[in-house]
Amino acid sequence: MSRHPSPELNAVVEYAIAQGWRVIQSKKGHAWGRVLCPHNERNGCIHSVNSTPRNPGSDARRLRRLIDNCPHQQTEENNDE
Amino acid sequence: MSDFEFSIVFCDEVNLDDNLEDQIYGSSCSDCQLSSVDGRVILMFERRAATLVDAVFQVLYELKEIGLAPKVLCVDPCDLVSQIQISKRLDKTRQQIHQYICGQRGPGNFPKPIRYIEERKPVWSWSGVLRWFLDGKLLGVDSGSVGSAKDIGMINGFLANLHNRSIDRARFSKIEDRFHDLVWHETGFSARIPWDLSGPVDLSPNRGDGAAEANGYTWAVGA
Repeated sequence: MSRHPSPELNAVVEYAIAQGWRVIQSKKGHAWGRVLCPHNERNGCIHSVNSTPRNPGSDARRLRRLIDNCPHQQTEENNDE
Repeated sequence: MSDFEFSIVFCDEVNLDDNLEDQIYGSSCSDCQLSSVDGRVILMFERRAATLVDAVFQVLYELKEIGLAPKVLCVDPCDLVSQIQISKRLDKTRQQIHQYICGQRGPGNFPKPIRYIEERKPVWSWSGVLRWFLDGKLLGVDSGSVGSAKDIGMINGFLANLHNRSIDRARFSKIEDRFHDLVWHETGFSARIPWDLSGPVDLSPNRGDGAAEANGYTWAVGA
């Protein structure tokens, strides 16, 4: 997998992978790729990552927040309680 | 000017695919987070503008340029909230919000739920809840937040009408006709909305009396 040109976004993508998320890289177009939550057998969360974001730092913070607040993960944790 | 966070939620026919990514990232909306949650496509924005409504309409204009405005289902944060959502949005515990609802905290008379999504699962109007906290001078809620919540509720009302009309025009028109008869019949002008988000309905030439005719109805034109 190639790295995202923005170090901030690349760090969040690596964080996502460490949390069990999958990454599908785009072969062409404006998107760098998509990160998919571990609970996406059918639906789940899919977050697209822009290859040339206007503000990589802000995009990275938002993506990190979305990964941390994945509603599917929270549902599973609630079910486990 | 302030920074506002909101999301644009698309209708069922929009899917997260390569084409959509190219459309969005090649447009003025490329500052958004494009995501799909349980198959529903969402654009998340943080925009600087004078008001939340200005920020939302900036985006709606930009989506109109790329032909996606008619596919907008609603704007989040929406006006319907559960007790859990109230606690999250106000950053308070569920227990604290429960106490406000039950009158064990605050001045009492917490707004009534506006409906039940199922038995014992009430939902409230977010703008109504914020208004109550503002009136009670609680939790630092300000009038700007109340106004923004009301505005988003109204924007979503318009979007719901447009969406309902686009998915079943005949059925929508029947209901619209009933309201027309109920409320606006005596004004001589139609209560119907002569546009959708792809553009105006093609009105026939102005009759010279401030009105125009289209689709068999008379419309008020201009001021």
